[in-house]
Amino acid sequence: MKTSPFRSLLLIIFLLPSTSFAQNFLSGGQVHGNFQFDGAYYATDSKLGITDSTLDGKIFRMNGFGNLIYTNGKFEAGLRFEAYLPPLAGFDQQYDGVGIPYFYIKYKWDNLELTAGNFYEQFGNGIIMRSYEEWQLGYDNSIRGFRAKFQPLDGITLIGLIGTQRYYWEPYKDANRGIVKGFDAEFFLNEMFKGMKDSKTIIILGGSFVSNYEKVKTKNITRDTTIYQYKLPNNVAAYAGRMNIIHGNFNFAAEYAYKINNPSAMNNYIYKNGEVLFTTLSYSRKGLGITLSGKRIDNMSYKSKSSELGNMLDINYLPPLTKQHTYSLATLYPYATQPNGEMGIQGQVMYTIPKKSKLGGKYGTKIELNYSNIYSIDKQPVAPEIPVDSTGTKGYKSDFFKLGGDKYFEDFDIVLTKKINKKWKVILSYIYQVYNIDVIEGHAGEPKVYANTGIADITYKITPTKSLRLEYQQLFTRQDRGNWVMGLLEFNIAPKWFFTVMDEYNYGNPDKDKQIHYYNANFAYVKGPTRISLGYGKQRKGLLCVGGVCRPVPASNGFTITISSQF
Amino acid sequence: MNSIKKYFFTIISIVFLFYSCDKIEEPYLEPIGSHHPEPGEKVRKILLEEFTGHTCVNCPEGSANAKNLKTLYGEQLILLSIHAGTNALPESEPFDADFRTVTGTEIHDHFNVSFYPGGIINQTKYSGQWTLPYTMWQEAVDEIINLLPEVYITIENDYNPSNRKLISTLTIEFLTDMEGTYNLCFYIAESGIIAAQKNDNSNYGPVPDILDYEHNHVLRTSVWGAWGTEVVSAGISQGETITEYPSVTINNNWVADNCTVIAFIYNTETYNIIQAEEAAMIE
Amino acid sequence: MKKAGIILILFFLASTLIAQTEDKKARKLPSVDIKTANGKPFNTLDISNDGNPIILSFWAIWCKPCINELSAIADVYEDWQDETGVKLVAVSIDDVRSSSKVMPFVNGNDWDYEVFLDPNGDFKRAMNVNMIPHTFLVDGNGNIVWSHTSFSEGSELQLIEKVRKLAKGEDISDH
Repeated sequence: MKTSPFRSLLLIIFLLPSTSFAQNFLSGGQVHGNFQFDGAYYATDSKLGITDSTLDGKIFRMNGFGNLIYTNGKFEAGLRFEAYLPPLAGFDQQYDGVGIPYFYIKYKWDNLELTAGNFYEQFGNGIIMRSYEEWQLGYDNSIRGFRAKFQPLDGITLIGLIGTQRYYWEPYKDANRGIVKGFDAEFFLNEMFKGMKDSKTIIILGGSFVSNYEKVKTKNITRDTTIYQYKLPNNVAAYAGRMNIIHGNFNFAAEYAYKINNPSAMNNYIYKNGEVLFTTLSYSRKGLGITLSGKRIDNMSYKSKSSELGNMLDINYLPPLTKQHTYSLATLYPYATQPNGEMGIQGQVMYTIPKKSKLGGKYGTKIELNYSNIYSIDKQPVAPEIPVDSTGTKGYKSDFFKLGGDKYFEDFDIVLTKKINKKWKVILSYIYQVYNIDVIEGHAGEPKVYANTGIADITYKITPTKSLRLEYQQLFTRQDRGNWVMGLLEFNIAPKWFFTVMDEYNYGNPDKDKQIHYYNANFAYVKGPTRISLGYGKQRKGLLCVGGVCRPVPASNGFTITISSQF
Repeated sequence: MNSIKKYFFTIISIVFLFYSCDKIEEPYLEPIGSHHPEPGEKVRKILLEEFTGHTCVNCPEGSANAKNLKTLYGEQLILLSIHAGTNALPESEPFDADFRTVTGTEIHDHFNVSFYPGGIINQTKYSGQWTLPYTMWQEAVDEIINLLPEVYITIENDYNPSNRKLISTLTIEFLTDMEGTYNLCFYIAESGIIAAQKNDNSNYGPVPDILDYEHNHVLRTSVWGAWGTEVVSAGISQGETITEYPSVTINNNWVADNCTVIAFIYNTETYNIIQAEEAAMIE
Repeated sequence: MKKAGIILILFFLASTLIAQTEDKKARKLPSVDIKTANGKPFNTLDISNDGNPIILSFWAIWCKPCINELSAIADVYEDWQDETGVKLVAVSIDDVRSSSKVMPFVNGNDWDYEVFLDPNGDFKRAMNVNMIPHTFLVDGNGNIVWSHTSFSEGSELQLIEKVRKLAKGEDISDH
């Protein structure tokens, strides 16, 4: 079943060389691609809760992919081979298998581009339509179908698409998920109208429509002695409008989206409409950048299968309005967007104290400030006797401008970066976070986590190509797992060799048995686009940055190997 | 400007072609019938086979979910916990219990159960799969619970404590004409077993070990094996009745007061269960 | 059996195509629609530097080694430009979570690079980038002639060596 789409593609490409036309066709072509192999050998660790039974005999696991893209002038074809034998710990085990989940052909005329097969697409900010893949997260909601991109006039881009979304390896059949249709138009006014060509103000407007058709199965509920059937919509549509106005150093962007009734497992089958407002204002000039953002999400989970509860089949993307931290202890409490409702703001300031000034020193000093605060939205009952969020009702009423009573997340952080001289560079950070573990991780009743984190990151250049890097991190909290300390030492010989040792120690864990050292040793070798890395140790879940790259990793104990390259 | 107008017109018409949505008006719930049957009315009863293990950390969450469904559907839903697979292997103390059975392992392997907790509802595929994660159990039950019963099973138990022997009387009444081949299964389950269970969700008990976890409706044995005995070989007419008298000796380690018997009848071609019944061993 | 079959077929497919294109013309920049730092539509074929070399660097705000690389080059960028005429094009793969912060971040860091946004990873996929930082060297004719992944202090020295050779017209394909 996984091979059938592959065979059809194969047929297309294989038949081509048999004709003389194809000889010409292929002679001008180019093939390129990339691949990655992530393997892990897992060992048991009673303290981490990894036993023979949790490993289930799957001691060696791997994820791997290979991409192949063939281009010839205006024609392009590509495919991605994936193997999960079996999937690495932390990845959804439904990926178990081998196959070609992604393939396409594409042709580009002057102002028209057609794609048949799989594709990724984003309308505006993606708040009603975004398909994308994130290999390290095991996320892929590519659309398989058709897409047309058309530029009828200068400054106008139209996109239309139709298809079904990827669901692990399960083929689309028997209406087991919805069919997604979408249309987007973007107007770059300065190119459309001659009079605006030289205007100092740049205006871009856009609008999009998305509709999902799903043959919804009947769903019943029993109340007292009566059986009720939900009146479920087979077509769920959403639309959005956006603008981007740039004037001098200012940039203002806003997008608003509306979704009609979409009762689903995600929102407990309520019938309220959904809304998102997403705005950003930024100002920047040499040496200074300021960004202010605001966001309101109300009942905006949008999936192509109404009974889906997992991470898959998202039609839209709701970005979290928080800083994506990279230091390991700062990633202990990462925020995740609450699609059923949240309101938040974020402000960020980036400033470089000029070179050769008193405070700036020879190389200048960089200061980065970031603040985010996210709350629940206001929810009032639709009628006095019906509780908020009751299934089979409108759910709730909400005052657009009113904050809800529950704080979800708060993050204040300051980062100072200073190159002292040719040999020394120092980065100091302080982070304050409030984390609603009850809402974000679903640990009902657990108190909010208040965490203070301090980080020092010092680089010393021994020679122009040999450097040592030392990281010291300390996180203080009285909640959850208590205090952590982390140390890391990295020795690099540019551009090829990376050696890292590190230890994260949960010394403040209230449970003495869980005061675990997460030690790690890592080695990487790089040549051009090829990178081979080997690691040994214990890893807790988080975003890990070693040896020059960053990636999120699940909790584990054992050996890891990653090989990645392109050709 | 004219051409721009033309393009706008094209765009708008494309949009209307694409744009389809179903606006639903209140009330959102439409009454379609009555749920609680009149006393004595024959209803369809559904079997939820829950594949679990005492070292499976997510299983307390699954069992809690099954228990909620039982509260919701009452006698129309019958629960059976099948300990099988690597999560059910006995380990060092306190995880040395072994709830595996030959019958359970055979069912587990036949349906290729690969994740835990996994549930099979009435041995019927839902959404293309036999085994479902617990988040899907309710929708799968809802899909079939209001179908009219085609068969009805009654159980009468006669248990003799002195020799621990159970003799049951199963009466199978066919309410419609039926085609095909049907087997009858007869299982014994025990509830209230206190033994250690792994857990990783503090909502359902201490993490990582619940030492005094109560294991309920655990499959203990079967009389005719996992796949039962044939009761209909080539169709049967409405109104006919078949009676069977399975008997079994209850193991000394099982608490007779906590044992239940579960009987069900299934189509041997599709494996789909068409009716199930449960009764306490001692009234 | 099925798996083995797929792998075998894939291998043949790849080798057939590679055999067909053995004349190994240098790879050109692909044509992908991305955005300028302001959000204006832009096609990657329009990336140019009047016949001089281009450093094409894939990065993101949340990638510390990327920022280290761009900061290290920033310190010597003026000298590099004077010497070789090179231009650095920084392609941010930040998604909408942080794409609006890219330009303020670049300006706040006082970087003089030409910055583009690739918020859905289209250009990244077309360039077969697995991990960032990933840096390409593009010659004056738009041919991709060299690439390197990862960064550590001092890697920029290798990069400028390659740029110098490229500016002189020497062959630098070493991998």
